[in-house]
Amino acid sequence: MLQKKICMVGAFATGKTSLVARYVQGIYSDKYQTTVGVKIDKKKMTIASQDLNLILWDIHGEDEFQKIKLSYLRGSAAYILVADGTRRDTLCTVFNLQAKVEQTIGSVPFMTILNKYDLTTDWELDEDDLDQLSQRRWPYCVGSAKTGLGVEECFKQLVQ
Amino acid sequence: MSDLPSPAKPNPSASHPEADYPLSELTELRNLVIGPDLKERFDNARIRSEDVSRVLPEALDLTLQDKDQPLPKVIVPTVEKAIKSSVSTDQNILSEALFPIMGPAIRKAIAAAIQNLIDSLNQSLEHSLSAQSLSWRFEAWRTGKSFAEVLLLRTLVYQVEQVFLIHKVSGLVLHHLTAATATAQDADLVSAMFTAIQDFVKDSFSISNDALGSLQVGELTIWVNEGPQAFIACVIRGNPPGSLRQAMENALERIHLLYEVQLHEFQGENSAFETCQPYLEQCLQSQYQGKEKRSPFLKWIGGAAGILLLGWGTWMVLSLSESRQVENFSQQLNQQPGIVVLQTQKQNGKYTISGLRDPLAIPPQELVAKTDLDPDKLDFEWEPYLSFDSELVESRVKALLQPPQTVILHIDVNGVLQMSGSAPQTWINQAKTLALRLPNITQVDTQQVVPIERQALAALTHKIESTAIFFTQNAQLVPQQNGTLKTLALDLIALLQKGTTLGQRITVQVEGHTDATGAELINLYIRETRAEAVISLLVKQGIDPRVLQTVSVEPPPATSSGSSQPILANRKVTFKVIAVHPSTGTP
Repeated sequence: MLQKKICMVGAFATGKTSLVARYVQGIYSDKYQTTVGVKIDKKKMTIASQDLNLILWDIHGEDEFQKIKLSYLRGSAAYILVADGTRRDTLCTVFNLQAKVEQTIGSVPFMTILNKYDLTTDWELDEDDLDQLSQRRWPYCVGSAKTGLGVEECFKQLVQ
Repeated sequence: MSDLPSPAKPNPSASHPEADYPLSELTELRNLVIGPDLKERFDNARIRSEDVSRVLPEALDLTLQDKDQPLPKVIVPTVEKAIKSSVSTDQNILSEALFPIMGPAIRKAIAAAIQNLIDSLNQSLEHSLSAQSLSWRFEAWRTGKSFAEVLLLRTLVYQVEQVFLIHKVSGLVLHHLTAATATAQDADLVSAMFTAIQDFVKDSFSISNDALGSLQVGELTIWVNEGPQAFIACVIRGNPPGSLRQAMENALERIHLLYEVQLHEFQGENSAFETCQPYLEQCLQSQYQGKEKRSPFLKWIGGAAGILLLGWGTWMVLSLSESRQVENFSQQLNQQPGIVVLQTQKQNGKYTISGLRDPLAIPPQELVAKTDLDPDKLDFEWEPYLSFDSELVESRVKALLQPPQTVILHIDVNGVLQMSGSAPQTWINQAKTLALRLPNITQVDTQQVVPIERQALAALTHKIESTAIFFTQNAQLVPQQNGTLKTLALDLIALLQKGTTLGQRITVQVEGHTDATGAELINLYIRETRAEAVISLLVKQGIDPRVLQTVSVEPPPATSSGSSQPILANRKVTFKVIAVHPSTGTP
């Protein structure tokens, strides 16, 4: 069985946990995130007739009080950066985090998700912001944990 | 090889005439190439051996470095033959060489075997006879399991339920084993989370190199042995022995040795590690309770101590309840008239109640009989005293005076003893004086008590006064009156006795009667004669003549009709009793 460790990082309350909640199987409650700082779930996928287990390390979001524990990133095959589309500052956090992550575990594939796309009225990101991503040649997609939009595709894209 | 002659060295016989022949050319060429020195080296076995001996160690070293070299395999038969030969030649050489190793090894093996034997004997004895085994048999019968199953379950010292082989960097599970009897969560998640917790602990306490060695939660223990690339984590139920650590360490070393490349190049595909199952299985140990550390002797002592403790507890409870009972009884006793409890003591398991007791008070034993107390456990020590409790004073009066049932006694608050009813005069007299001797009787009132003698006296008086002795015309008694006279005499004797008892002087007037016919003077004479006749008869019956007085009773006057017919009924003697109290002179 092929397994891959995937980390999910992002600012606080960007919806990392909600993004994966409906696609994964897990045995741990959300309290692990606030206590140990990480919650682990598993997502089973089949890519090109190859079964694959994604071990998702849902790392507690970074905020002004708590930095993410970089040691949790070790051994990741890839990582997902999550930003909240309704809060522009979370995108800045994502830029900062990416640098830290790359510094810690080197250059591994990653994907950016701009979450909460269902909240169209509160959406703050504009073309300039997306240009920033494009300029950095970062793969990204928009998604919504609430509606499920784009999440599965994002995972697939990352795995491929 | 540096000692070999240079092949380029010119041969002095190179221009030999034999050069025309191919064979001799060949020989010449051989001589040129090999030279006579080299030839000698090949031909001389000693020189050759010397040469080989110089290179052999280096060659062997090279052989061992190359894994594909068959040397170890090839050399085995030779070594075996060599050992055989050595043994057959002289056993002592090999024996001496092996002794330092064999001695301890054999001792260890023997000790282990003996220990196993003892353990197995102990277990057999213990489980076939002990109370625990009976309870396990009962459990087996109740649950429908076999006795062996229950025994295993109840004697489990520890069991390794799961073994994880985890890739250190990524936390991905490389291989996972679960014991047949255990249940396991998703190994992938547990493995990752476990790695996360390890990181968490390391970060939290700034430990960089050392791994989290063990975790303990309830009866579960998690032991971790960390290697450079992977770690083994065992989830253990119960108390594992130190040897398990060793087994984990061995497995980890083996796996790192055999899977070094795979571990380095691990990219998430763990199928390559399925073959390491046998090594991990060595860690999937379990052990059942067979090595009871406590000796049966100690167990007996423990059991005895337990029983003693239980007995002591029970005794304390009983003793407390008993002393409370005694205390209650003592209070009850104190409320009894004529009993004053001063002290209740406990000594040698017996209670002693001491105080003052009026001899007439209720015997304490009677009260004990009404309670649950054991009479043998109670002793009484009483100082006698007189109680002025009215109830007891009355009892004391009764005990002293022994009043007849016809008498009712009452003692008022001033100590006046009032009696009523009837009683013999002697008793009344006695009672008057005796009662006053009692300490709190101030006065005796007997006015309400009628002496029974007085009643008898009245009855006798009445009877005697109703009696008449009849006479003929003169002083001759009408015949057949002896019976009447005898009864009369007896009555008189009784009367006089009663009179004496009552302190009265009794006089009986013997009244002579006549009818009115005839001359009065003669009649007077006849009346006196008749009375005296009766008196003399009575005196003959034993009556004191001094109490008898002759009285002449005149006949009633003749009726107006003037009849002078004699009235026979008037020819008689009757009696009148006069009782006089000597002191007062009144009846």
